[in-house]
This record gives sequence, C-alpha cells and structure tokens, in this order.
Amino acid sequence: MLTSQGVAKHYGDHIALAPLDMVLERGKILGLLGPNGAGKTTFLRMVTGITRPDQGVLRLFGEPHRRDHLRRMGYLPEERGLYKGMRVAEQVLYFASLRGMSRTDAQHALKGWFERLQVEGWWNREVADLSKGMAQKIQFIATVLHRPELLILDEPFSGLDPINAVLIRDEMLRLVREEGTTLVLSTHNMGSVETLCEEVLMLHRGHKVLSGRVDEVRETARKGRIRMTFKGNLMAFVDQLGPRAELLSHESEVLASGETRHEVALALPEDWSMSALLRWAVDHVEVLEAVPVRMSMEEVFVQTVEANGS
Amino acid sequence: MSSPNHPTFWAAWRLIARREYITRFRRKAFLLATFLGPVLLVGMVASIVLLTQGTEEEVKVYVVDLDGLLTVPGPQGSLVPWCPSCFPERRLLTYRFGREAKTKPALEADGFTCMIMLDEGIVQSEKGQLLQVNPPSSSAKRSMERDLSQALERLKVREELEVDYDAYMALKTDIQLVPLDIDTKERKGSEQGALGFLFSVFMFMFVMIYGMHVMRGVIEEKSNRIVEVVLSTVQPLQLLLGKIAGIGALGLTQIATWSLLSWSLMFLLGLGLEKSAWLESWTAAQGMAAGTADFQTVLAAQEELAFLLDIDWGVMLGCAAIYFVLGYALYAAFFAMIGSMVEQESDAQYLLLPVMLPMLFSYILASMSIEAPESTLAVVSSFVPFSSPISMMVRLPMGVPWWHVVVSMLLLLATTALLLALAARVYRVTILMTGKRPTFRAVVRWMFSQSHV
Repeated sequence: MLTSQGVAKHYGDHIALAPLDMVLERGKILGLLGPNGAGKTTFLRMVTGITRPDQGVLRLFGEPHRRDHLRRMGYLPEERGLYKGMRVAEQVLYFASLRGMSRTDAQHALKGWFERLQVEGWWNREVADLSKGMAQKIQFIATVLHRPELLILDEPFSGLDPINAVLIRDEMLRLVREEGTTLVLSTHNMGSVETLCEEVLMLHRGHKVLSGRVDEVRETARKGRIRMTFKGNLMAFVDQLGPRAELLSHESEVLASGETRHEVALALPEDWSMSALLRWAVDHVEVLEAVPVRMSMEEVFVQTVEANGS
Repeated sequence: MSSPNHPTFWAAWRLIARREYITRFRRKAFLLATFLGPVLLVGMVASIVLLTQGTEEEVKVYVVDLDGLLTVPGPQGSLVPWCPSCFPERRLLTYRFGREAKTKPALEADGFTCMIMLDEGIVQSEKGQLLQVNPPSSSAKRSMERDLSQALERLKVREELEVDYDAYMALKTDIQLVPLDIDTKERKGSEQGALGFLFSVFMFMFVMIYGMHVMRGVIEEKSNRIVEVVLSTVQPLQLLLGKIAGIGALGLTQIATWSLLSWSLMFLLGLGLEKSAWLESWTAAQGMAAGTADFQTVLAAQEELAFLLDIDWGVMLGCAAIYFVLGYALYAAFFAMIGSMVEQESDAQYLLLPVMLPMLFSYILASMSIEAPESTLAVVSSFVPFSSPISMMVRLPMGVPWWHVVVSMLLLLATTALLLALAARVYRVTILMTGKRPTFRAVVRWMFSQSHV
C-alpha cells in the first residue's frame, strides 16, 4: 500500500528526513510517532504530494508515487482550517469536487456522514459559527468523504471532547474494518496508539528510531522487566538475588493467615530469561505469580527518545 | 471502492476559480459597490447638467461710471451707455448705470447683486473693481468682462485711432489653435485626455483593489492553514492561477456591471430629462425652437461633458477590459507572492511598497500626460508592461496608432506570463513556510530553481 525506499528530504543544511525505509500493508493502522520536529510532517507532506523527496522512491498502491494517486488518499493535516465565508456542506462538497467526486455522489455520501457524526442540521451553517470541535468533525468528513484507500490523519483527536473523540475513533475503526482503509495516524496521544494501532514507526531528528508491531515493540522495550508475587522472606530473597537482577520496586501485604505476600518488579539482565529466574526463585520462595511487564507506549516513547539523545 | 476521476489541471483550476468568484460575489460589500458605483457616477453627471443650468441666478449689475467713460445722459435723468450694443440684453444679466456709488443697503434695496466701479484709470490698468453683494457665477463674470472690454475698446478706437470701430474690428485678429489628429483630422484635446485619465484612475483602482483581494485570499489560506489540505489535492500552480482567475473574473464582472448600469442610467436620465419640463425651459433659455433639443444636445452644450459624445466607447471599454485583465494578472502575481510570505496582512505593508511604486509612478505620469499626451515619457510608459495598462488608457481616447496598442498588449502579455511562472515557484515554497519571513536572496533562488519543494 505504502512503501518508502530510502526517501529523504533536507532543507538547506537541515536534514528533515534521513533516508527512510518502511512498508505499510493494506488495511493496517500505522502509528507515526516522534517528538516535535522529528520529520513526521515532512514525511507525510511527501506522501501527500505536497513536497517531493530529494532522493529515494515512494510507492503507493504498488506503483511509483504519481499525482493522480492523491484522489485515493485523504489527508487531515495537523494545521488545518476551513474557508470562512462558506457554508459547511458547500465547503465539504468543494473539496470532494477537487478530488473528482461527482456532485450527486458527494451529496449522498455527505448526508450519510452528517448522520453518523450527529451533525444533521449543520448543512447550511456558516463555517465562522463553528466551534473548534465542530470544525474538527467537518474537517474529518472532508478528509474521508471521497472514500480514500489511504487515510492520513495528523493529530485527529486534538480539540475534540472525549465523546466526540470516541465517535471519530469508532468511525476510523469502521473504515478500516468495513472498507479496508489503510490508516496512518500521526499523534502524540500514546493511549490512542495502544488502542488503535497495530504498527508503529517512530522518528527522531529525521531518523527512524523504532518500528514494528505495537505489541512486539512494547515487549522488546520492556528490557527484561517482570512482576512477581511470592510468599516468603523478602530480605532473604533480595540478598540471594544479589546483583543478578535489579529490584525496581516492591510492595508487601500481610495476609489473614499471618504470612506476608510480596510483589516485586524486577529488571533482568539480557542473559537471564524469565524462566531461568523462575527456576532459581522456586528454591527460595513460594512463587504465586510471575508476568512479563509490558511497557506503555508512553514509556516506550520516552525511553526511545532518551536513548537517542533529546 | 469508488474510483472518481482525478480532475484535469484545468478542471481543478476552474473549480478553484469558481469558488473564489462565488464566495466573493455574494459578499454584501461587493454587491453594494457594484450597484451603487454607477448610480453615484451618473448622479455626478446629472448634477453637473442640472446644477450649472438650473440654478444659475439672475445677476443685476450696477455700473458706477465715475468719469463718464461709457455713458451719456438718457431720458428722465437716467444714464444709458453710448454704445448700447456693447451691453446686450441677456436672460440672466442686466446692467444699470450711475455716476455715484451706492451703499450696500441701497444696492440690496434695488435688487442689485453687484456693483462695478470704474474711472479713467481703467483705460490704462485694464482692471475694474467688482463689489459683490452676492458673488456672480463665473460665466456671468466672463460676460461682464467681455461687455466692458468691448465698450472700452470702442472708446479707445474712437479717441486714439483714425479708423472707425468697424474698420478696427475688421483688422483685429484673434488666433485660436484647434488641435487635430494628423491622420483622422479629428478634433482632440485635453477633454479626451481627461477622460483617459479618468479611465486610468479606474484602472489603477481596479488593479489595486483586486490585486489586494488576491493577496488577502492567499494570506487567509495560509494563516488558517487550509492551504495544506488544498495542496494535498491540487498543485500550487493550479491554486494560484485559479485564485487569480476567479478574482479577476469578479473584477471584470464589476467593470461590466458598471459600464452597463452607467449606460442604462444615462439613457434613463436622458429620457427623463427629455420628458420633463426642464428640457423645455432649457431649450427656451438657449434660444432654440421648442422640441428641437434632446439629451445629446444638452450634453453637447456642456463644455465639461461634450467630449463624451466623441469617444468610441466600444474600443475604449474593450481595451480597458484587456488591459485590466493583463495588468491585474501581472500585479496579482506580485500580490500573491507577497501574501504567501507573510502570516498576516499587517506584515505585508512594507513588502507592498516596491510593487506599488511602478503603479504610482504611471499614475502620476498619467496625470501629466493630459497636458502632453505624446511626450516621449508618456509614449514609452505606454509600452512598458508595468505602466502600460495605466498609461495607454490616457493616450487611447486621443487616438493611438493601432500597432502601438497591439505591441503594448503583447509585451504586457509576455511579461505577465513570465511573472506568473516565477511567482508560482516562490509561492509553492513560501505558502507552507511558517514563522520566519524568507530573505530576498532566498526568494530569488526559488524563482530560478526547481528544487526546494
């Protein structure tokens, strides 16, 4: 669906995007992450044909990037606006016509979207009268009305209240599931990355610093962290553990039976797997539970940025 | 999935132009200006016609002939001019003569509007005093001056020369130069120049107004960030050309509406005048037979307006439209470039100066061209693309060789096309830039290179 082979862009001496390799398959949701100025917008502008790569090959729908691919794409930039002095429907229909949609098709589709996003009755409203959240919904409709196969949304939830954010999120998921739309989501909202995205691509200072499936990324980034619950003597356990693993935190609870239950978070070195730890631990304490800790995307994000220098 | 056809370059261009046109057309300010403009214009012409003719008041002059230069005793102790033909009876001007000055209350009591004092000194100084109770109109004053001059001339001839007045009149020579075109032998003069100037004023105004529209439109798109959405569908060049075309079409609409409405209103004004009693009284006052005058005669009788009848309006308006389209597009390229470099209109002020200078220059030149329409500067500037839309409009009503117009238009067309292409290159870079304003060097670099986008 979307392939980048060594695509790069620089402005003068500033490297906006170092050669980037990536592949996004049809029907997937990709989270495009990175701190401000990481090169996300630079990349998206090249995908949407607003700018051209200095080098590398960008492929869309299995073909080298062409201008007439643009009508099969929907782009909601982070910096977005609407024309003042136009009415809501008129404006959305204008964008649809620029993308080659016939007026009747566009009107029909628009009616459907007005119902789904619960904005019936806004048809003839002046754009100037819309609140930020309302304008956001209209911009979303303008982005998806022509049924794009590739949908690129830059911070789609900013400015939306929780109820409308859920409404838009559900519509995004519906498009992916029912229409097979491929979605690129550029956001700083890590919660939405966890709930929505299957894959992530993280950029930092123009370089790719992380990519892969979300669950794998969270798994890999945990760096041997596990949480273990056991009964027994905590002090003795820690003593015997020694420098083999790092104790990150612990909590203790006295049970009704008079025994004490401890919950510890540990960071294991690379040469010590969780099963090795368990084999060692059963000789010293009564292990009740042990689970690998999955890092939140937020932690992954911060850790990756720190590891690559902020 | 639905697979809509991607609009072609010109289809998208048309869609953009249409939006620019429609959203501006329905603004109240535009409609008001479009329909009110001609009403004001025709109102001005009507008031010139009606005011100069209808409101002129009767002037009754008391001439104090202190030394008896002009008068002899008449019946019943009154004084009469010894040359009655020098002071003919006029509709709005009557003379009475006396030897002694009257006080202001006495003048007012007898219904005089002014008093002329003259003694022997006037023969040398050729200056008399006009003491005004109510200032007479300038045409009445001219009549008085003419009458007095003639009377004194007769006096001088009688006293100092050995010819009689009729012989003197036969010898007297008064040269007038009538300006004619060397080819067409048509009369041309400063009135036509004035009309050309009027056209150039309108040209200046329209190019400025609609050029600013382009700039504001670009700034609006840039500052409210909609441009990124638009550019993910169309090319910057399409957006730029569409905007310029849409707003230009709006300008043409206004020009056409103004021309059409003005013409219709003038026609109605003429019709109204011909039907009204006003024309009858006017005809009578001009000493013409009733029913012989129509609106054209009225216009022709107005020194200030008569030339309007001699203008080839089709050529004038046609050329005005072409010069507007090309001149506007030329300057719109600049305005769009400036708009794409700034975040808000106030930042554009000092960038506008270099663009407005050539326009202001040709505007000032145009006002000078009325006096010297065929001066080298005026002719050259009617070829230079940046000033030709304004300068050629001044020359046009006075008659210009057709190839001058064609060459000037072709030069303008070529320059406009070139500038649009260069402006588009800068525009596609600067329209997406935020924060820092680009340097002049960077702008020039973008103009002449393909990369950076």
